[in-house]
Amino acid sequence: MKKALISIILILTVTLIGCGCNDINNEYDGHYNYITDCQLAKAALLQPFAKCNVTKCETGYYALASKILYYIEGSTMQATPLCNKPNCMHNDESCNAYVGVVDDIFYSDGYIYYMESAGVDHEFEGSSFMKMSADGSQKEEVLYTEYSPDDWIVHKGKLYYCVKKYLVDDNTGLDDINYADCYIYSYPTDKSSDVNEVYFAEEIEKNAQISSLTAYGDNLYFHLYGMKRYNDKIEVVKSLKLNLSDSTVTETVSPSGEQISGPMYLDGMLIFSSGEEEDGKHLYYKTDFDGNNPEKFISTYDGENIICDGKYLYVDNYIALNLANHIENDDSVNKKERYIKVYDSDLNKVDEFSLGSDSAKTWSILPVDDKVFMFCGKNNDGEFIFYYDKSEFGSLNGTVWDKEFAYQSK
Amino acid sequence: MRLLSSEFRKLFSNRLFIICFALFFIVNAVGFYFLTSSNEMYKYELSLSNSYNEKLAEYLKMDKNRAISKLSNLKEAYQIASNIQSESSEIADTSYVNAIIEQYRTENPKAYEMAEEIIEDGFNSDDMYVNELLCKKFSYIDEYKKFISEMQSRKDSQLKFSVFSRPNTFAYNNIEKTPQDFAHLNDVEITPGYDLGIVLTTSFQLTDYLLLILVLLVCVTLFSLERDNGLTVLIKSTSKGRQHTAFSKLAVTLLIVAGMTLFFFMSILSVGQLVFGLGDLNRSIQSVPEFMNCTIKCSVLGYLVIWLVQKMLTFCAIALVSALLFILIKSTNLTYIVIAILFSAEFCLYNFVAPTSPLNHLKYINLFYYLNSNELIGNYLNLDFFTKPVNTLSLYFVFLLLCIIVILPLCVVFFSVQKQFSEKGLFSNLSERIRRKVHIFSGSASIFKGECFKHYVSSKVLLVIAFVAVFGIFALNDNINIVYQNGEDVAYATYLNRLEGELTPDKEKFIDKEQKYFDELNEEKISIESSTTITEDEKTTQLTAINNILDTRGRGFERVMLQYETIKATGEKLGITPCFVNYTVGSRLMTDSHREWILFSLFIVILVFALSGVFAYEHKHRMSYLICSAKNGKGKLVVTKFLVALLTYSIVYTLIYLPYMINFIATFGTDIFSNPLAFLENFQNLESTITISQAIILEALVHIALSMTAGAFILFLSNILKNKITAMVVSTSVTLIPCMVVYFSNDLRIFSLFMENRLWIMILIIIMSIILSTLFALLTYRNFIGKQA
Repeated sequence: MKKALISIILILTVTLIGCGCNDINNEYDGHYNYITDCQLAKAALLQPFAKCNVTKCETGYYALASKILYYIEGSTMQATPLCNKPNCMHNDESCNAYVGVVDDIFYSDGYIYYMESAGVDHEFEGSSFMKMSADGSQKEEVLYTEYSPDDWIVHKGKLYYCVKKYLVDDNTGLDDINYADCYIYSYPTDKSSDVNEVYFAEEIEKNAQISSLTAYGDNLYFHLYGMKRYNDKIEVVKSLKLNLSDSTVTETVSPSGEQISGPMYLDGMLIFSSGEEEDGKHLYYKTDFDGNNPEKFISTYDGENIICDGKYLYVDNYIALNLANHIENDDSVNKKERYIKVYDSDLNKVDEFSLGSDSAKTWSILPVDDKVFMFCGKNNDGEFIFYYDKSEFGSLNGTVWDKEFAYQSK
Repeated sequence: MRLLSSEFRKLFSNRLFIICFALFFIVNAVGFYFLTSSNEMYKYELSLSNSYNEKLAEYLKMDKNRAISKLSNLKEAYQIASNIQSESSEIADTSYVNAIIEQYRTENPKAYEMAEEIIEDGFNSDDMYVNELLCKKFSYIDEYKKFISEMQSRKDSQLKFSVFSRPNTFAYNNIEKTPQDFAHLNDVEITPGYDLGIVLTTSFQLTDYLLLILVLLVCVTLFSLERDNGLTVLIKSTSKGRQHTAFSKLAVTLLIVAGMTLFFFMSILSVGQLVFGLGDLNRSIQSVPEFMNCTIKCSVLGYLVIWLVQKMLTFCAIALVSALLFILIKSTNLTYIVIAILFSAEFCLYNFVAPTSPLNHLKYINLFYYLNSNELIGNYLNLDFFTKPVNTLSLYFVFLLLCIIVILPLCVVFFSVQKQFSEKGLFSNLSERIRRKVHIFSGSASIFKGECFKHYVSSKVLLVIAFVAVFGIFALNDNINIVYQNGEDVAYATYLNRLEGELTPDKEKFIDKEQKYFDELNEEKISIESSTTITEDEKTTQLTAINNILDTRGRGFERVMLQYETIKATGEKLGITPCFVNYTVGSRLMTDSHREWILFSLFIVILVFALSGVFAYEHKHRMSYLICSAKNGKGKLVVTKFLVALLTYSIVYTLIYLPYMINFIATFGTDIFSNPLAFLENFQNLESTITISQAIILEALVHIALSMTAGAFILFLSNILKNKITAMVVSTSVTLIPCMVVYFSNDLRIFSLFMENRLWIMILIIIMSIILSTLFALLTYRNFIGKQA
């Protein structure tokens, strides 16, 4: 009897654990681990310098607004400044949550990372990568660099950042001012070794740029742009994948040889955008999690944009709202308000909704989060953080989706 | 009792101590008066204090809510009146102005009515400012009540978040503890008042630095002088044991330090009361918004008493620590170095460690934090000790207890058991044998060689020079290249590579050509944007290429054009040919305020250490009888001493200042030096054609003059005081305290004199310095010549 009872308990336990493992909210779904992997929040593309000011942790989210870092509890979606002092008014630099003028934040393995500029008398004197404990009680510098990195991420315990070193000497002419060497460096966040050069953009020199740095699994993805070294008439535009184990660099291309770039994670696969068109629509490709074996996946109208959150794919008409010429083939493109269609990984339409006329300028979708959309923006009242509850999918049917405020500044 | 009185007599018979005490007391009081009343903001508030106090008294008689309501309405009324006044004067269109007035009338009729009355009576911006101040003070009443009453609910709300609700973490424990520590303040009454006097008086820092020097002076007099004068053998031969002597010395030290602290800070309070007024001393300290986070329930008067006592206790603790160091370390040089390192380290840790750094314990268990009484007593803060929140005030009491329980007995024990004579070092026999083999003594040495030996070898100045040499090597090899952050900076630098120097017709043609190029580029951009013949993609490609150029080279050229206009105007004003100077490189050379301060302060510290023993050496080693018996008189000896000091001065100056200059020239070349300084950014007010190289030389002359004065003064002290450590302490106070004042005020830099066209001040400084240096040198000479050994 006793043995039977124990067996039943064991079976039940295993079953429950098994159920938990399928939940995308878990830290690891077999591919992507949001606690340790690059957690780049995608933002609306129309903002040229869209900020990654939201990041996910095991129990909720962190969001940056008005130079203060907020923690948002996952279960209640309420926000609080990340300061453990009940006697603090959170309105000056003595507050634990104060981080100053910072663009991006990343959560990784118990810490929040951000970059601040070092400088005295308003003169730039380098950048400091900082890490803050999960409760905001401690901050320390991880790395100082004399450069201003163009892009940076934290992935699997390492900091990766792109740097542009301008080549200037007495012989530099006016046509040479945009000559620069671009590098990607890595540095372990536990400071266990030195800065390591991961990649040098040998083939470009003039107008050289490495951008859109992101990482999935064992690969670093980035965009390379510039004029060819030693032949500045030839433009180089490449989307590259760097394998972090063996340092091999390959181009991410479609089966027809066209560049595909900007990977997003969707249920075990990566979604890339391309410059290709099919029937007048922009093509998107899917690959396996290692960025291999690209296949056509979905196409969108001019003015539409795609973003993924790991479980769902969203087709957003934000660009179309601001374009003069619309392709008048689809209702959402011609709508005068922000309209989003929701699909699952098999491209079955799950729902569609409108954000009304009062829509955020930037919105941050986290790579693996099936719970909420987080919006950080600014309205007449100041900075705000609000969210939409994804559990309502299936019931919206094109209506205006009601938002909830996690924070509104006064 | 006799021991006590003799220790008191020792101290008060030391003329140096009396002079320093009197001097520092005057500097303290006068410094407080001038530094606070010269501040424009404080001066303005002070000028309004009568009006403020009158209105405050009126509003205090009213019901609080009525007062707040009236003040808010008045605030709005003043704002409306001010807007109407400025719009009426600036905007010619009367119908527009009338429309604005009508808008105010309809939106807030009550405030508008009051505004009309204000305009009728004559709008006064001072009254508006006073009203705003009062508004802030009165609304603070409710703010504070809310702050205290909602503490518990804030705690509950914070604990709902998982990052804070994990038990046995510092965050959780701190959130739990804080409301408990504020709970007793629930019934505190907030009474608005005049707060400027209290805040300025309690936050004035110069007093702390002056008292630190005096504390060191007391310790030198009581614990070091006797050892240097060879009297330790005498005073330690006591029938009842040395503990009595030790206790007497310590008791006198503590009593004197406590007395001095009281005296100095009472003088500040008195000046504060006379100049600003301290307001109603019976209201709660929390009525002053700056002390909102103070958890001590007391009146303003009570806070001032606690503040005074805390200062006294802190200085007594510092005195105990210093006394222990003086007792333990027999070498004068080493004592000075250890104390300098200790205080510098404490200063740096307090000022530069971030509040949430893992090292923040070193920031808050720190002498300078304890000296900052407003932070310690007036601002509640807990530190993480193995997840337990411990209040910094509690840690302070632990520190005091440690001083009493540990340091005090250690002082007594070490004073009692220490040997009277220095033992030979571990390697002294070996080094002596080596020296004998290397150097064969062949008759008498020249005075110069003898002085050099005393100075560089015996006084270990050679080690100091070696340290400065290492510093110089680092400065020489430091990478000072400019790291360009964007194409615009590169473009500007590239333009300046081409244009730097005098503006020639060729350069003007080049500028015109570039301007034409960008005009055409902008026209092309407009035509592409409006074109209907090319595809969108082609448009995007072409526009991207143009924008790339405009964002980099274009912006760089805009900066060049701005500079071009400025230098033409400056050239016209001065009647010289305009010159292009690279602003980035120039500002690095001429306006680096930190480098200027660091190098000069380091130079002064080295001089203090190196020169304090020049005239005190023989007295320390009891050779003064020997050297003062000179066949040809003492003149040659004192001149030789000056020469040796000058040699050290020159070596140290060269090692500190030259490496950076060499590094700069190696990195950026010499082209910049021949350009007039007036063409550099921020120097447009200069009405002289002085070149950058001449400016550097002039700046160097000022540094040399000031440091020579400091050096002559140090030599003078060394001769008068006949004791190296005393000379070090006094010269540190006279030279380094002004350096500290300058450190906190970025405007007080020599290059600022160029910016403000006050070259005459530099000339004056040089002349005064020459006069003072000569005076000190003459006094030293005459004193040395005339003295009996």
